[in-house]
Amino acid sequence: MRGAAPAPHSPLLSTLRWLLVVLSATLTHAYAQALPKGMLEARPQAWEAETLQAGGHGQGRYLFVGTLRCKNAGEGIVGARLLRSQVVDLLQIGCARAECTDDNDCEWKQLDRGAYAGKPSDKSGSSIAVCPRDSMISGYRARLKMAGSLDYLADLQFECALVIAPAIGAEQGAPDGGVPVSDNKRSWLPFPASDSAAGASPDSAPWPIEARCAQRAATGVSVAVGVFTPTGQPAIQALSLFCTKVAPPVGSLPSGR
Amino acid sequence: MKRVALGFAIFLVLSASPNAQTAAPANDPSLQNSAAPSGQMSEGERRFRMMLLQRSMGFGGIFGPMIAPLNKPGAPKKSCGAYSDPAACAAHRNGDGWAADRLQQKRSNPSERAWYGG
Repeated sequence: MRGAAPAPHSPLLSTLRWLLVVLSATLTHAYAQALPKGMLEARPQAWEAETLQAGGHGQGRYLFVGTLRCKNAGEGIVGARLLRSQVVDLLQIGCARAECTDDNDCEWKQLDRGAYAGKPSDKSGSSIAVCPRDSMISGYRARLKMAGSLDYLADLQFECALVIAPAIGAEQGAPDGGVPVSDNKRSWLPFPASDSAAGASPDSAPWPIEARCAQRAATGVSVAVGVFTPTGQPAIQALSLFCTKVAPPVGSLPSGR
Repeated sequence: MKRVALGFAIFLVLSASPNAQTAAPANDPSLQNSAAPSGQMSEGERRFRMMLLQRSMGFGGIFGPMIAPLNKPGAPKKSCGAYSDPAACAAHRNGDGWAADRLQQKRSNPSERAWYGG
């Protein structure tokens, strides 16, 4: 019986093995980053302000930190899709452009499904909430879920505000002046419960975090996706809104800061 | 030579734009203040990490570039399956079976119809 011959050394296999080792080491390193305490890392643009942030406190493993924005200038966020389990697993925004008459009766027609962040789990339930066609998203309120020392978004509602004029500065190519909305004609936009939304809080539960943009529709939703430690699944861990800065008139709504 | 060619090919695949829906581009100024816990990261390392982070999140991952052509307009679309309603079909293609069923059965709410163009 002949002794086992050593396997022939294949340059191809060796290269692939080397690449896999480098790639997995780099990805592992990239996942293990943490947010500084407080605000999200994704910063607002110079003409924007950020509202109060919900969640994201403590040292977590963040898979993604960034801002969900509409693709085209002049558009506003008019709706969203949530995938929820014990926490919010995924958030997707929907955008539209409002057209206004000479009397500033404004209405959007076509919603475009836009950017998203997060990842569905096998227990995620889908829920969609869209503002009335005369309104855009300009605020939010959130419930949090603690897991150890970390907090996550357990539930979320957006606030729709009546559009009172067409987008400012959108056609000049200048920094977006935002979409003017009413500070008074606003309403909360609940996400209906779906069959599999296991973690949805009862409607009577309080909303401890609440913030809104003053006079303008939100320009972006800033999110951090972290790992929900009890399940190991990605989840929305922190959220805030970006708003166009405006000179606050006397008696305006607080911006949430 | 084969090894070099293979390495170059894999580098091209990894460095190509995923051309998929992303939330924030790697060169987004809003991400420039990102800092590692140690705070000691070179610009090159930061860019590479952002690229990897982008590829890791729901946009096809590291295989994003390979499947990107499937996301382009004109690429073969997922079939509508049993859904004859156009909005239900859109929901089905978006992986939202819950809404697809409701749209197909005319039990959807105005939000679902607006979202899927019904």
